[in-house]
Amino acid sequence: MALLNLPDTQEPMDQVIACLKYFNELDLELKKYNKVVFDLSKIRWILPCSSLLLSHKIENIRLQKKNFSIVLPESKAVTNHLKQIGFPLGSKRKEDRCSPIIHFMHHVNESVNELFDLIDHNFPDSEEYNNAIKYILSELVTNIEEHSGYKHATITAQYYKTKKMIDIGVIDDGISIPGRFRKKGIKFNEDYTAINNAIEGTSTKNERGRGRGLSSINKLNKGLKGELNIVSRGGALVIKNDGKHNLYILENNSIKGTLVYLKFHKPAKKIEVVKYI
Amino acid sequence: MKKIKLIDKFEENIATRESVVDFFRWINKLVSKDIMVDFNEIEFISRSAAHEYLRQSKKSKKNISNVNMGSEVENMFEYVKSEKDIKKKSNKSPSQIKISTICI
Repeated sequence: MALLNLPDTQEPMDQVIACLKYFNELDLELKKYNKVVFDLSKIRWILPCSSLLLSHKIENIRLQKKNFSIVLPESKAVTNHLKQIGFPLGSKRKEDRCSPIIHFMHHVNESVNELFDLIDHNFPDSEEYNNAIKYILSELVTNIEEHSGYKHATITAQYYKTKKMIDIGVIDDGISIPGRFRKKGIKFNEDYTAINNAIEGTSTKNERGRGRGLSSINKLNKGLKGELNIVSRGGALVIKNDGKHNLYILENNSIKGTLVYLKFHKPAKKIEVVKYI
Repeated sequence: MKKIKLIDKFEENIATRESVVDFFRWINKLVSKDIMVDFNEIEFISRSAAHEYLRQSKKSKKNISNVNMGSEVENMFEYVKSEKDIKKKSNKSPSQIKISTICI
């Protein structure tokens, strides 16, 4: 039984890396015993990127019809939070501040509309950033649909009222950004270079106005002074709110597909998306 | 002329290319040649969806007119129309970087 130790941190990449290491252990356990136990008992602090990754992994195992069980965190605060977001299989529950995890396979429009409906309902006073969230989610989901060849994807969005922070995350199990570039003959050195080139505007589409989803999200994120985390195949990129880039080489091709995760403060006034993209 | 209220098809948000493609698939099967699309109550359209809308409008053999567009939606269409050609493929690295190798 593999135990997940998540660091008590505000740094998404620290928790993402812990989750990816954990998934490697789980995959070995699954291969050996044909069943797996997610032991989450020691989690004392969980960021939305981790609940998203875990939900996505659990749903993937469920879709493969493998046996699994979950030991919930001993921390009541963490367990309550997970219940609130419908962890792990998702829900359509309307709760203040939290949008449940939503999994989607081939009903992307339906899933996006469900999430938008939940955001409108669950996020109080969201007028300033409502369109920014919708823009980011629309472009990310469109990317998944058009480029990834996914079987299963998962989305979430959270608003933290006290800190006035918004977190948005989307993960898919598709071909990944480096994989897509390779397929289309676009050269790059490391996987993180492919991710960086994608956010700088390199596109696999040769048509005017297409293939700009990630680069426009990068620009909007800069305008929001947010933090953008992208993990794809063997690479990761974090753009901090001061503009600094941290690039990561994840050995053993640790993620199947792509995770995009953003966090930003609630803007003081309404965001006009077109001014930033 | 056939008048179509978008709010009946999309609720308040037009998010994905796919939803726009589906919409035009339906429009193109209508008997009427002239179509008036009413954007009243549409609060949001993504860049991709706006791009696809313009693309499908151009491809369609119908005469499509758009009315009651809110300022945000109109701004997004204007933005998409003004977009320049996509950048050449690049292989550049950012200026301020820190690279870490994580062994998993």
